[in-house]
Amino acid sequence: MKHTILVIIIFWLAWQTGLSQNQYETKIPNIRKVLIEKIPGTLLIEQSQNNVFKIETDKEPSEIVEDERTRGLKPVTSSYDNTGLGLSLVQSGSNVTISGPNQFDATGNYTIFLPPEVEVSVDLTNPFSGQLVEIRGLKNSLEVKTLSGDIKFSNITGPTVFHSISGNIEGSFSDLNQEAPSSIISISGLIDLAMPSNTKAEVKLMSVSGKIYSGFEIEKEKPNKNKDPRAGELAQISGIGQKTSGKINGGGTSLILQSISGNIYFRNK
Amino acid sequence: MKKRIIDYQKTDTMKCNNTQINALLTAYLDNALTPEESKMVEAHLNDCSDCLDELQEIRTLHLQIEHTPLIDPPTDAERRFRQMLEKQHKPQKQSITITVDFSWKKIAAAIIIFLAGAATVLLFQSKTDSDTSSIAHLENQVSQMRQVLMTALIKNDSPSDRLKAVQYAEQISGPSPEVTNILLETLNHDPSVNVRLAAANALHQFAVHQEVRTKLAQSLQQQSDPMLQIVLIKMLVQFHERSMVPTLQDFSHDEKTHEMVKKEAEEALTVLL
Amino acid sequence: MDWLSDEDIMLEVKQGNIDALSLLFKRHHKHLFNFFLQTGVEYHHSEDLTQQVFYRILKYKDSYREKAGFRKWMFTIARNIMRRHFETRKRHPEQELPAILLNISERQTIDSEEEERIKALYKALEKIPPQDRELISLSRFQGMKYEDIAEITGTTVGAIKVKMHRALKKLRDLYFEKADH
Repeated sequence: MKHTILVIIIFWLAWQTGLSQNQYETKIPNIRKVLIEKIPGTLLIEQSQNNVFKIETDKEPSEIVEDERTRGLKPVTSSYDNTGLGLSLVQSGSNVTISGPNQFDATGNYTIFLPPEVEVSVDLTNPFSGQLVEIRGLKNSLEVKTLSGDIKFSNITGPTVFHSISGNIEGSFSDLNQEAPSSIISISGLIDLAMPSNTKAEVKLMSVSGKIYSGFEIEKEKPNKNKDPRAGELAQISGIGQKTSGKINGGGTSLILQSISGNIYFRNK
Repeated sequence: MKKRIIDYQKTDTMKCNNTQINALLTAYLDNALTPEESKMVEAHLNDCSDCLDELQEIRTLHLQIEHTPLIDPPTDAERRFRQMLEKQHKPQKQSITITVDFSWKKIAAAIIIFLAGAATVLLFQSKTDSDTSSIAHLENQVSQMRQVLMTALIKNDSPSDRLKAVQYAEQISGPSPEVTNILLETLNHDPSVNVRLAAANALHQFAVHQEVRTKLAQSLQQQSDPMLQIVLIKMLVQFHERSMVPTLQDFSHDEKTHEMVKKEAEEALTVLL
Repeated sequence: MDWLSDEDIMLEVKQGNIDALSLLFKRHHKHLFNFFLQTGVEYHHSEDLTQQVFYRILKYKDSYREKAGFRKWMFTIARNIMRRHFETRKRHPEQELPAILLNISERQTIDSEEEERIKALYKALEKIPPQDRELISLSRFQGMKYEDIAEITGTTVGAIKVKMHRALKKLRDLYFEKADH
């Protein structure tokens, strides 16, 4: 009873102060994959509770640019803000795409909370994208692409498919998912990766002109027997670039770390 | 009122020696003592007029304070508070929440069960009719299975799944032209650079075949990622694949080419020409 | 709305209905404001600090523990803010109390005898050490219980009983002496 009255009062208050509608819930059925692109600011991704998927921003509505002429019209060509947060959210099949506007505006901080089962794909290769993505505690399958933006992460498990042109890729795994391979590539940025010391994997580390450091004992592969019947008993010519490959802790899923000019730091923790 | 105060002041000498009890007088008036303490104080008050007087004085002061009105805050205090509250409404993390319905998991589970079923059937078949046949035959069956899984996974939307498919392809013994084609297709068209690179690495073992090398050289022409360009150049140089020379020349002349790729191409050219 | 406890309202705020905080503001901001004045914070700063307390309550609403006394929590925050204020301004709370406390007739019509009395009270309060002012403000002016004050100031109830008595004794001695003049 007390509670009911309180709720009524709260509503009355909310109405009184003209509380704006800046928190709302939507139900989207059958999400299998979440694609995130062109986020106008820094992006933080965290695990959510209860299959809920939530977006937060500190961006003020007034900061969200709006063209006076477009009032009442919906853009046909590009995405539009249907979340009230300066982002559009579009479902197509089992995929949901979250996308920002085509504007140079990277002033906001966005946090997206995702449930553990969805696949996550972050594409910040658009020049309108912000410069940093950070992923914390996600057990999801992750794909991240950036141009110059850094990719930071902590306590993830993968499988991961990370690619950056000049951004640094650094962070730690809490465990390495053995279901599928993980691949991390930076063209000119560094790769600094920490994994639990008991991680089992088949690693391939390669840097064309950078240096490779490893805290793990890598058991070198025995010379590979060529599986091509035509090659017969010919030994395979091994090695592309500065390459180290082999098993750690007896081997497991495939883990690829590659860079052209960046150093690779492969740490055990 | 004033008179009374002066009276107390005059009569009160406050010479009680029992400081321990005296210290409890204020708390006594505030009903903040334990029952034992209260009893002690009451017993003491019976024969200590000093403390009784002091108690009276304390009460007077308390009343005085009680009758002292609090100062009113500035009139706009509440307006300022409301403004603060309003601000909190806005920048303080706007958010949208979406509830996810996971019925797709059932579909995924069904696919896995189907694949697992197909695998056991294959294995079982190989077991029954391999009573007499060789282990090679069994291996062949496993390879066949990998190929089934690979062709299914390579179409998958998830890049990790496609990486897995490429990994299967690498493990297939006696790869078929079909597998090679799928890998080449992946190398040229997969949306993820990571998967394309894995495909390039997997194709390394098939590069002994001239037709594969020709395809790899063609692929080099259309790759835009510097990492892939370097890996392909290194691979093809090993096999002295001269069909890539024009592409390498393009790379070395094009200003947009990544510096390291240019270096790699120029080195390769000196070897190939 | 008086039947709703501070704690009920605060829980509602914690759950995200931040507008409910205005109920608590209405109830307590005057007390907070006077607490700051009585501990030696100037008039306008007292108002600022009062706002700051509520801002902080909102910011840290998630750390509010269920069943924890709201007023106790509020004054703990207020006390921290007040200390910080003196630290950053390098102003000693021993200095005189804000003039507003003594300029009673400017604020309201009041008979002169009463005015004298209140002036005497604040002048006495001005002369006692800041820790004692704080205790007296919390206990006598804001009506906080000994247990709560003990928690706010991080000491035992036993110690508070004695400290309170001593603080009030200092005030009494000064006050009644003043009144005698």
